[in-house]
Amino acid sequence: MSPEIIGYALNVLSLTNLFSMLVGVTVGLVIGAIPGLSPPMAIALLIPVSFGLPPDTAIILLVSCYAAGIYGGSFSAILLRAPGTSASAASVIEGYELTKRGKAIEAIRISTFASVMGGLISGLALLLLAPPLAAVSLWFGPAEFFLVSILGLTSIAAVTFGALYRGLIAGLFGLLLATFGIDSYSGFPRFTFGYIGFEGGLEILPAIVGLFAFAQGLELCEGKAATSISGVTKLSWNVWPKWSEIVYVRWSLVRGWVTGLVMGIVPAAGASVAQWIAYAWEVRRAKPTDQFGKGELKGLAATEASNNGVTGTSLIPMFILGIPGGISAAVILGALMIHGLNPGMRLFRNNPEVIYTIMWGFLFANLLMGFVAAILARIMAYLTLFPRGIIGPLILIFSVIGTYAGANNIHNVWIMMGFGVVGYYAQKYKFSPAGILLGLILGPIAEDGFRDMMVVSFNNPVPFILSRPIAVIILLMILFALYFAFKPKAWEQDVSDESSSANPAE
Amino acid sequence: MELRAKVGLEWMALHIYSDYNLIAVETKESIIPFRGMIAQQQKIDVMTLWGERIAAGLCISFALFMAWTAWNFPAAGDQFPLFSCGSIILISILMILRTFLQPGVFTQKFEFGIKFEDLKPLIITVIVVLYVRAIFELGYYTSSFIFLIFMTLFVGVRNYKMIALTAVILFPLMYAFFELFLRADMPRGILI
Repeated sequence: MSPEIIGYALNVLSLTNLFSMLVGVTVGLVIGAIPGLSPPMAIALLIPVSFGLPPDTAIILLVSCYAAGIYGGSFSAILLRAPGTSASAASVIEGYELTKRGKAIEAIRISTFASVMGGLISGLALLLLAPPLAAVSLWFGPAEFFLVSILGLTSIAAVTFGALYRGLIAGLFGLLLATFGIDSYSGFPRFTFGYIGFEGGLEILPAIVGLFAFAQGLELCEGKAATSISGVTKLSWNVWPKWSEIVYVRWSLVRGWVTGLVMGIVPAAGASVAQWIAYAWEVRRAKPTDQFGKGELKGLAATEASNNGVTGTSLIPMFILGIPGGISAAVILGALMIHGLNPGMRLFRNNPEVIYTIMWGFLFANLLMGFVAAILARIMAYLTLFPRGIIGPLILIFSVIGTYAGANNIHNVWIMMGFGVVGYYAQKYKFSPAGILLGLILGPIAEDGFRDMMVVSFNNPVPFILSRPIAVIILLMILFALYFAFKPKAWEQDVSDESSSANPAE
Repeated sequence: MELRAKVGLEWMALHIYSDYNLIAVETKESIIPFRGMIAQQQKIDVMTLWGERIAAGLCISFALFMAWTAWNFPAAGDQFPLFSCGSIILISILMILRTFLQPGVFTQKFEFGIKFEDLKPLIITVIVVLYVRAIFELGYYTSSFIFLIFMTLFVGVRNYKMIALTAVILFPLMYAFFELFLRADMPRGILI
């Protein structure tokens, strides 16, 4: 790193930049935590606020909001099983189980640590490796996108916890739902059944809010009204992670960060895919003492590390090539251009003081996010002490209004409620709502990648895939993932043998 | 027999039951089946034999209907839908086969009958539908206030002070957040 680049770090320490970081982080955390309201919405809201600011301060405000918004969704995911963003859906699995066991604060503090460190590492990658990593993102073509989505789908096997067939059906159901709407290739309306709400396809946000938040609201309304989610009556004040906890999850953190860094470079895949791949990796490495599915800190650490590990590297294609890696990056790209900054290598040559200040600002914002999140988390954790009979209706209200406020579209609300009922019964009968969501997210990437690949390869996909090194690597990863997903672990085999000898009827 | 061991970050008591060959872990909060839990996961502890067959049958019916709808979508638009439907049918058939080949995996007894608790989520969903319709007639804040009061009483909360406090604190905050900060004009009807 050249001394000039280090010198730009001092630019961040002005009062204006620090204040804009604080505002961006706070807004991002609060909006990200509300189911239905997303980081792109928060960023878009702050664009008018940024007009009067210098370009570097304005973009620092927005990237701070982006980083914090990705993490903010984890609060509601862990505390209420109602992920605020698609990037936090996987955190529900272990995070909410920890909350039910009275360990909400432990879950929050390890997820904060994982996210802050993930954002810092990702920010360093952005600062140091932006130009070479941008070149890598250009190597991804239709075959690679298709295979990356298949790799993500193999995670379904990991999130089913014993009900493999039903989990696979859930994933396939999600894939089927992803084909609803106007076909982008032919313009033909698929599975619309004459309902205008289906013509635009099934959006991810109503699906997430429905499958998790609304379904959770239904479940809380069903149970004993006077009891709380966690069953505890007071919370710990200690929001800083313990050294023993960090040591316990250290390798999960590393795997999560690596997954996030790599997946961030792939345009469109982003945090939504990275978290599931990281989680599935952890489940495959489970030991007999681990309690995946019942509140395992390692699972939560991996998903949180990956979803914020994505944030910095996902900005690389946007800054260098002008290719946004996701909706949030697209909104930030728009803001860059509004402030007269055109992305590309020219930005690094002509305005290095601006672009490097922004990158340092992103780094410092992640640090600040840790402190702000610790305060907000302690306040939000009180929600777990409320009676279920109050939290349930509140979640239902916020599910409706969060979905409606996003696009002012009543059809999204009906679709969200449909997903809610499906999600409730899916959770009850072990059909894995997470699997449905995975299919819905990855379906469009898989189908578009597949169809583009068929066109580019002249209907000869196999030689085409085998001629591309990155595609071959991803294919090998898929085969490994499938092998380990279906192969029983040695200690599982021992237990099955013990069970069958104890119960000869089986 | 009881042993003490460190599992993860906590010291726990391990209970070994020789007759069931099960190890349970006792923590401060609860007793968690340990390795036995993994064996339990091999058993489907929610679905019954006939429940599995009915679920598989419903999946097959749904997939057949969707495949019939998708047949002949133009420009290869039917490939993914047909792949998904075909795979659902295949896996559902495997589920049905398993009920004949491995019936011991299903440990729950099938009980036919519908209780009020089973219908409660659907009743609540209908109430939410009425609430959403009321948003555009009465206004968002008015209908949400009525919904909160009604639903908390419906589900069985009898702490009236807490209900009132929640409503009094929540709605002004929501107004400030959505109307003043987000400038998302919430639907208005006869009232706000």
